[in-house]
Amino acid sequence: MKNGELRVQQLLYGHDSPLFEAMDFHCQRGEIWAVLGRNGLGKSTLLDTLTGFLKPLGGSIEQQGGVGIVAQHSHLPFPYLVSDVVLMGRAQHVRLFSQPGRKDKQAVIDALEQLNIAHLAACTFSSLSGGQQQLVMIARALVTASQTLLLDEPCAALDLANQQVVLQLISDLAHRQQRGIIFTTHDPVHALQVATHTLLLLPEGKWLAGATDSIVTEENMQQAYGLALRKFRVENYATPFIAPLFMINQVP
Amino acid sequence: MLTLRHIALVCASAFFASSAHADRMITDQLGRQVTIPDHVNKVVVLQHQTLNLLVQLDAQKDIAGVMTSWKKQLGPEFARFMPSITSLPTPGDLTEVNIESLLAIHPQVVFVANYAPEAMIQQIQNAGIPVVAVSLRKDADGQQDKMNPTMGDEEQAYNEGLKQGIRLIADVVERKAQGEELIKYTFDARAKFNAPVANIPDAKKVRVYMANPNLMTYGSGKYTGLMMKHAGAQNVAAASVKGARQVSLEQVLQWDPQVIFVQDRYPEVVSEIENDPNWQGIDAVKNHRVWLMPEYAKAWGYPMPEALAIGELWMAKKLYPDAYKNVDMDVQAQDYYQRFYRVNWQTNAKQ
Amino acid sequence: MQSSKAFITRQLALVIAVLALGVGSLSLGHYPLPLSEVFHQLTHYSQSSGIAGQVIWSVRLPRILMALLAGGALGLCGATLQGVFHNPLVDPHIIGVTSGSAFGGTLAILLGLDPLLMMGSTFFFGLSALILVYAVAALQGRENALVLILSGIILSGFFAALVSLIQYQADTEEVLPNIVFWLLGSFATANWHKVWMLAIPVSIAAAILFQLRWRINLLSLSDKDARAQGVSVVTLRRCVLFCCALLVAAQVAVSGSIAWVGLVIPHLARLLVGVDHRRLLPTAFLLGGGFMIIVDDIARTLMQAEIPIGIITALVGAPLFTVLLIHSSRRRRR
Repeated sequence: MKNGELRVQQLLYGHDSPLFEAMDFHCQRGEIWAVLGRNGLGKSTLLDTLTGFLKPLGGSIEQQGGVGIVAQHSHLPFPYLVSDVVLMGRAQHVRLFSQPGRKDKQAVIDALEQLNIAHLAACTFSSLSGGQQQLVMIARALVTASQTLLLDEPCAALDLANQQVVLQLISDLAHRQQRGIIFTTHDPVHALQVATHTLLLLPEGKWLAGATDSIVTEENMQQAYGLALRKFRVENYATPFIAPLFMINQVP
Repeated sequence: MLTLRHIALVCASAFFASSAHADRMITDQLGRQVTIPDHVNKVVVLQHQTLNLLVQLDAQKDIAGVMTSWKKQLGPEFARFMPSITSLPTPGDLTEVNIESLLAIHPQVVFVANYAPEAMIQQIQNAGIPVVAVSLRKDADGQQDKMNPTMGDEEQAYNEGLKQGIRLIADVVERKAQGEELIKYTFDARAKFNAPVANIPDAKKVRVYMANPNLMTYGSGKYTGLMMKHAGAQNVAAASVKGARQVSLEQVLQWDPQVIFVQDRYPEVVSEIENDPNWQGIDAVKNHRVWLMPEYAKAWGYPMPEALAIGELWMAKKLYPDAYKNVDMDVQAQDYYQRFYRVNWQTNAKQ
Repeated sequence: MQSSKAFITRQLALVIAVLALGVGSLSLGHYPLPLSEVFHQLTHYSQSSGIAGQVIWSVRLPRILMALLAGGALGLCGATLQGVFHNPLVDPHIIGVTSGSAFGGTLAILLGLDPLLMMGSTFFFGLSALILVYAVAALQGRENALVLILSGIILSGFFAALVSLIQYQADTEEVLPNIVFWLLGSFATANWHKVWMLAIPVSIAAAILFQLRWRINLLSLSDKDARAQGVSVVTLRRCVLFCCALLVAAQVAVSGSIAWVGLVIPHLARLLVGVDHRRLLPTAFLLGGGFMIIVDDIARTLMQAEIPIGIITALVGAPLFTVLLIHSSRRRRR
């Protein structure tokens, strides 16, 4: 197994009983996996299992190079500074009774610069906008130096501009730094735009995994979300789109 | 001629001269061996019972410091016996001491209660000041500093304890003669005045309840019960309560005392009881026998000589007036007060 | 906000301030000693320097050291626990150790034990309380912050009830005043033995917590978040709580229960150096020590007799806390 790979074999996961049939997928270096599915099916639970927070009920998870996670919400009880928050990501690199050293502080600066938020280093985390906070959390995951990154609904609370920033970042991390990225989203457009592969969670314990274009189809989406979607292409645009056809009953 | 006697005298005086600044050893009532200076004329008293005794031994001019709560414990009227008390420093109390304030007084001896914390006694000793603990109780070996000792013979313990305590205090401040006089007067008076009620059978004894504020009372193991016994009465709380405790109103209703006494230092309790509807059903309240005791009738947990000498008499006369028809309480009280407090006895109008 | 250099200079200034406070407090007290005498005694130590030397070396110095260590222990413990339980309103009493220790001490007074045994009893029951907290948490099947807090509340209540029971049983004239005074806290009977009995556990626990100070930042995250960063939350928290129990039990054993310090001092420290626990923990220790020295100075000089420390910390601590809360909410609104 190479650095940055995450392989899942015959995985059964859930809190008390398996939420899905035995799952298999393999996230390799440089790949971006989008996890799609309705709310409450178990996307976040999957990420919890992949990080080791939850024990799998069956099957195996193999990884090399560490798995970092960017959670959906992060509540801090105290008004930490951005640099303090990002520094926390170095926990696995600092010995138990030691304090963070120059290397750790440098890693923080590097990550902040990579995300173009170095100017926010001395601000309080709670004073930032939602988008900026998300970037700080990503920076924290970056300093862990994990080769695989999991992101839980990274675009959920962001406006379109910030979604652009985050999606671009995901692409850079995978293609430029050769990391494996797995992110959950409930917008299939994100998958089409940036993900190389998709894991689609369907009702009644079924799932599909494979190259995004083959998974994100009108049929599959209908099965997954229970409403019709239209997949189409736009002139001069690299990737296809998919849009929902909401059925709104107008009361006469 | 008297050569031998002369030589003996010379030797003796030489011996005493050389030991003029030596110390002596005494044993306090916690069984501790304490070394104190030969001549003691500067003491600090951190116990109100000892303070009372020192005044009665005519040693108040030797007192250089008292406990902070003397007013609360002895009543503000105590200043009548010792006017200088209001200007004395108060470096500590029954259970704590400010060691620097104490050192600033430079006392030769500190009197403490037997239940003063061990740490406090050690601290004062370590500062080089001898500590004498007074309990006014003579327990069997090994029970000396227990709070509610299981005394086989309470009577014996308190009688002997009071004598031992008075002698100890008198010895320390070199008032031995006054000490013996106090003891003799007290126990003679008690023997004389207890006689008329000494043989009342238990069933005929008046049932008495001692009311302190907040439903506190004294059970067995305290001098209070003994005082009542000597006055021909029975402490209703003695059978089921041990030591000084809070009881419930239900218990008091169950005991249904015939008489309720209130100590002089808590005058408000009398009106509280008389006006409280919950107490109206009690025999004593129904028959208006809720009485405030005079100052000298100290029905405390600890025995005080005035309580033995005239307090018990007062209580007995109150409960059995026929047996004491020709005894004038005021005359008796005046005699005691003149002898030992060196002031006139003032009748307490609230009686 | 503050650079490292600025922080170090501030910290040094704080250390010097506390030391100066301690030395200055040597000249305070009811025994009249002019300043010149104080300096003379400090510079010429000899076994037989009379009462002046005794007051300085056997009365004031151990007492000031004890106040410093006790206040520092409480400040450090409070700051640590507020981090561990993700809540700035946490007081060291929350882990139940104070109530357990209070019970141990009260029981010792009731039984008439000598001072050494009493300290042992206090210490023992204090640590037992923490073990019981974990036992109760185990019974609930989980070991997260909320469960531990609830267990702490339960144990505190239980031991407090036992203390009340003992107070009820105690002779109201002779034992009860002893218990009440001890429960309010006091440094009055400070001596060198007690200083050592406090210094040893405090040094060990404080050294461990000092080295772990950055990890407290991580522990202040939610359990899930901390785990995600690779921290073994359960083990680390057990170690930290044990150190806090050592601090509190030792402090109660030598000086009775003292409230408010552990709650207020961390807030004051946060105002000075921010919320990063790397800076907060040492500052909380120093501020707590300095504060306690001041409070003890008041306790032993304001009146001729001793005022229990707990009364002063409450009278000073509650208004001070209110002011701090108002100040920080104003800051947040800006």
